[in-house]
Amino acid sequence: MTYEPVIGLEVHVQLGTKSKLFCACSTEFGLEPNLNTCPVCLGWPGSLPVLNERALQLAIKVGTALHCEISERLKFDRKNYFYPDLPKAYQISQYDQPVNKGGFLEIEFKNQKGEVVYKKIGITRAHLEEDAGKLLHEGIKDGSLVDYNRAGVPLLEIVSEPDLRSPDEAYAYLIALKAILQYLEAGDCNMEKGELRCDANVSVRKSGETKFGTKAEIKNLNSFRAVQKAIQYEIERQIDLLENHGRVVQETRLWNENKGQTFLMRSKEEAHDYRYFPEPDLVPFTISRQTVEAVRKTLPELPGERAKRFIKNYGLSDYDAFVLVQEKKLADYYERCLAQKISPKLASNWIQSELLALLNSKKISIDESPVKPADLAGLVALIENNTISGKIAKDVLPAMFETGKSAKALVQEKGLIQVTDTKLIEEAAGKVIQANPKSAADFRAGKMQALGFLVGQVMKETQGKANPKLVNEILRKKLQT
Amino acid sequence: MEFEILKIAELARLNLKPEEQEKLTKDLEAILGYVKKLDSLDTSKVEPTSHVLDLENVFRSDQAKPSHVRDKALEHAPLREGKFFKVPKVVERE
Ligand SMILES: [Zn+2]
Repeated sequence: MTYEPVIGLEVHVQLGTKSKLFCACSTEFGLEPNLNTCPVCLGWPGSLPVLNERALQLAIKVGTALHCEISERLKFDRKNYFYPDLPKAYQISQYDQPVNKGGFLEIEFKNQKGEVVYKKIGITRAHLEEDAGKLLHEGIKDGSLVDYNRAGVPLLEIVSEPDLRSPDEAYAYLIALKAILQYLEAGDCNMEKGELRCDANVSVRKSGETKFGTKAEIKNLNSFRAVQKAIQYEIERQIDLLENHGRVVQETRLWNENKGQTFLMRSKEEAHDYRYFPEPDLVPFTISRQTVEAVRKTLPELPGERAKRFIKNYGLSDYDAFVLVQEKKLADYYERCLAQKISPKLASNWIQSELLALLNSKKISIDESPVKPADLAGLVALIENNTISGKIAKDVLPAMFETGKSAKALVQEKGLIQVTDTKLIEEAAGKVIQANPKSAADFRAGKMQALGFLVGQVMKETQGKANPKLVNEILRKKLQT
Repeated sequence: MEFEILKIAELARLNLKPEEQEKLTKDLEAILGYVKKLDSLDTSKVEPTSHVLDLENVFRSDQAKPSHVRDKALEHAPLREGKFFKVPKVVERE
């Protein structure tokens, strides 16, 4: 029996505002406990919330980029629950009139055949709500400690349709969503700081079945890779249940990263009855169509459009364009390199292989790269005009990293300029053939591998400076006469 | 009247004794019965409102300002530890 997974994701993203959603407290991360609190976010009687205009604008911006319908009328509602992470005993959220409804996000991923495929994932809604405080339990026997610095920080909860069909699609969705949020400058999306959080709804059904199976909600997903792994685990767990035990029970489960398993969350969560009602402390809001149009006009070029432009204008492959645009700063770096009129393909290759490998090994982000775009372009230009070989360039780049010198300066300093002087190469080739009569004979007898060895020897003879293409040509000529 | 006194008590985290259940059921029935009078009005042509004031779009601009209330708030908290508020352990109910 084959099964089809059905996955929906709920993403909470912190909107990039200076102050909280309903009060003037700072949203700065990592401050002393409870420093960012005031009568409003501490829920003192008589205090009144007032909506942060910027938060609403950012929410509309994200909704527009996700092709959502922006509500003309919206209101806020109280979601009632007893838990000390919110001092008011309710969270201000949006129930039946969210800012954004019914959009989609285009994702890009590799299918099982390794082909790049595109798919539109429905967005059910994206609504504004306030974040809760943080409870600390560890090491405290007689209670819990509460820090309300996060309480009231603006969040946008983005809910997808159950359109995702594999852990890879879920991963691709998160990558695409994060890229859009960063391009919009709607939020930093730093998962370590809790600025982006994700819950997954997972169910499975027999292939061909149109009704959904019973779903489990998975929480405590701390990275995109964790989302992928937890969904994979959950799919297998549910298939095993159906095959061997009859049925799946609807429940909330927690992902345990160390054990690589999901566990039932033991709590009174089953009594979910939030008794939503309109927040009487906030007036309703009207969003004019002119406002929506104005926001639409300010949308920057988004990652999907940028990838398509890279493919069309620079001749990149779908995959290369996709990797470059995922991170805005990387794509910006790339385009700054191209300002130096170098080969777009060569520049893309050098950034994606050598430069990123170096940056990753040293844990440096692209915008802090000691090799600036103009420097990298300088290196690529030297390869392009045959001043140095790609092989030499691989040694030059780390030296540029270390010294901060330009490729040109380093190449001159170390005498690395590629030898294109045929006479010099002919001399070296003659020497190598003489020193390796067996290989020469092998090649003449039709063993093509022997040529590779001889080319290597000539490169060695010239300290890697000879143009490999020329070496190849000259050796062939010499051996065939 | 259609409500379950025990469910409401559970949501409000109240432990009711049997005699309290009976009394509260009667009280709630009376209250709901009073409000039910509204059902006799024809509201088919009335727009639902969520707010009593004829106001909309009240915003504040995104500017952060410290309130300096933390220490005062902590002073008034029933329990604290350092700069944290302290609460009883939230116990899971069976
Ligand atoms: Zn506050």
